[in-house]
Amino acid sequence: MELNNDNYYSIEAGKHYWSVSQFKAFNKCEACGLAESRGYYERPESDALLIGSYVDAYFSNEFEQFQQERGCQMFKKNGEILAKFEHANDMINRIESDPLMNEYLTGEHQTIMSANLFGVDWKCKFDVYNERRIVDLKTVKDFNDIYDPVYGWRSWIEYWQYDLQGAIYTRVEQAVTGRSEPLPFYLAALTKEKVPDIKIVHIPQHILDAAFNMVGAKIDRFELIKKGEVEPIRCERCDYCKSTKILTGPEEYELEEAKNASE
Amino acid sequence: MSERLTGDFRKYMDKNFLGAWDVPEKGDLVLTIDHCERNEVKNERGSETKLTLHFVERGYKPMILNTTNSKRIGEAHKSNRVEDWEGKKISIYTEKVTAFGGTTDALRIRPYPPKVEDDELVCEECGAVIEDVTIDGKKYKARVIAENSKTKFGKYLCYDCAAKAKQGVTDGAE
Repeated sequence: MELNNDNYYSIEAGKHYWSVSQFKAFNKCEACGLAESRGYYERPESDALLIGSYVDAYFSNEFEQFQQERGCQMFKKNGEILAKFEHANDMINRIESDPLMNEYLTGEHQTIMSANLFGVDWKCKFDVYNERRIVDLKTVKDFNDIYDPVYGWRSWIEYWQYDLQGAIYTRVEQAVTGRSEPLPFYLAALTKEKVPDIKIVHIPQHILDAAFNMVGAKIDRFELIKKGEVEPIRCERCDYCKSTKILTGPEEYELEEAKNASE
Repeated sequence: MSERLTGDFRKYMDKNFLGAWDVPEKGDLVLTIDHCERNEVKNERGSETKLTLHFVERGYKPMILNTTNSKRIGEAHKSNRVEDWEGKKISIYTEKVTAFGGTTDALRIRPYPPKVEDDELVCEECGAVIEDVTIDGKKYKARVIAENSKTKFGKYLCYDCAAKAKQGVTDGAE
């Protein structure tokens, strides 16, 4: 299957290729990830994602298309722009006012590449790509650490698994171009805070390698699930699992030891 | 003449527990859990009793477990019960952490099990290598058998043990 801008996000492409977001969805909940990949379930779009897409569209020359498709979500009945999009414009201005940010956002935008890694096909769309680096534009709440019940406090980069994204993007690019070493991977990040903060972060190769190994440890199982040969595990916590849960009987109420165990 | 050494000096000191210096500079240290104990650990506060992880592989000292690493083993092997960890493989790596006013290398356990190749899949019930099976002319690959048993029973099982486990579930439901 030949990928292009029109079919990149299609269900068909999602069935054939793995993407970083699809892998992350399987990693979070196999049942939900499978349902999404087959088009049976669509995660509701949050305001945070919408603002992220707005900023992405601006810098990838897809702003006109975004306005055409999402215009009705952007304006009040009286034609005024909604406050959240007004703030998004402030965020865009903040990026544009910084010379280094502009330098790192210079290059080819929304470049599509695909390659076979771990025996499965992957697809990627780079926000910014040039001969020196791959850059992904990220809009996040803030740059503070985030608490994860399994990992404890994690940096926003780890929490959102941007290392995983960098690992796959750089390896796909390396496979396509045949370069001896993967390109460096950077995040051009800005916050949605009242006064937006900006940052350019380089994720070092050893961190990308660790994330890449994690993909290698899990992809065989995920691929069999995607092919329908293995049944997915339901997490029973996500919205998909809650919405498709079928009760089989009453459960016994118990005080669980884990909840009372001290940290 | 004795062997010429390389690596972090602490590797060769008289340490009682596994340290960041025991982990290779590149890649993870993959070890198999033998069992857990509570051992006395000497530190700057004197001496404390801590949960420790002991390994099957010879030559590796026990590892002191903190809450983060314990949770990660629980996540990797889907159980917080220490007896369920016995025989399971874990990947250990080092992470820079800020503590006591400085940066130090800490031992960390990855919250997912290390990759197991198709020919290394072992039944967690009987210990046999999981092999491809052909039933009524249909071939079931070892990986498919193992992963399906993981979905249904939470662990890798060979075809026979999976069939027994399924029977047990069916009997229990009657």
